[in-house]
Amino acid sequence: MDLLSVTVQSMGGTELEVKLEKSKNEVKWLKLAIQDEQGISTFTQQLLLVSKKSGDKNAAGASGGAGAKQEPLKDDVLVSDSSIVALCVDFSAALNEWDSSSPLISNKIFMLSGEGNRTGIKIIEGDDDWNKCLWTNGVMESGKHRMSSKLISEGDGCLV
Amino acid sequence: MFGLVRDGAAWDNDHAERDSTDAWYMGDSGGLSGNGKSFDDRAGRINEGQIVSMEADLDKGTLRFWVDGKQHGPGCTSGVQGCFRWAVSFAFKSEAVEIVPTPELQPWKPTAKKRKPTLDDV
Repeated sequence: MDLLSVTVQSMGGTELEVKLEKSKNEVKWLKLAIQDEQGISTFTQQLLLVSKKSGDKNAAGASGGAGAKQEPLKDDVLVSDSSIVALCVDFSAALNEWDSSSPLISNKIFMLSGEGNRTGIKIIEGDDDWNKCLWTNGVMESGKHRMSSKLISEGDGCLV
Repeated sequence: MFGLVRDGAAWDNDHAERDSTDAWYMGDSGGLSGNGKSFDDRAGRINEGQIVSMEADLDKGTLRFWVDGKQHGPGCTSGVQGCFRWAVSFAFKSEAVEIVPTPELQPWKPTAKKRKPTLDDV
């Protein structure tokens, strides 16, 4: 099996060498490997390119590299052998989990699933009203905040 | 419905009412509800598989919406201040939503205010 090696630097100064199959050399696979090794959810990981193997025009950083505009690498970007990336952990993302202590859960009106309780599903029948409110764990008081959610299913009703 | 609800609000109330001051919501049709609105300013339907992104600026009191990274409607331009949590409210069985990483968002452009009709429009 052909492997490539990527060095992951944490903000605390530690380094981790991650081996990836060459056929699975996208950032999303790197994040999964980091999650397996370090227990850091892929959801909270932000990877920034520090340096890349020179001469590799198809891999991460081919249009960037040191000194380039530093934005987190997207999940479908290809990483190259001997690349170095910096790992930032976005703790605000960890706050965006549905509140598992909500009465909606104990009363079996909603159920939560998925990593970090990030999927909420309404499971009760015969309650076709917008009077059940599921919220996230984190409380926001000031500043700028973002959250994104995907509509997995529209359910059994009509849209408004 | 996707939006913000005040921390401490009731979990079993309909906060999407026009007279509710506890939530700012966008419904599946892209209309805004709560705090003086009731399915107003419809920006277009939100379909299964689409990602709704929200940005709250609690210092400026604004709430903005994007769908699949594109601006969706005028958002809420004032009054969004206090302690909040992100929230959803579903009416129907099997509705489901997953929190996902925020995609790249289109830069925000203020929406032109609707011109009030005049007698010339009649």
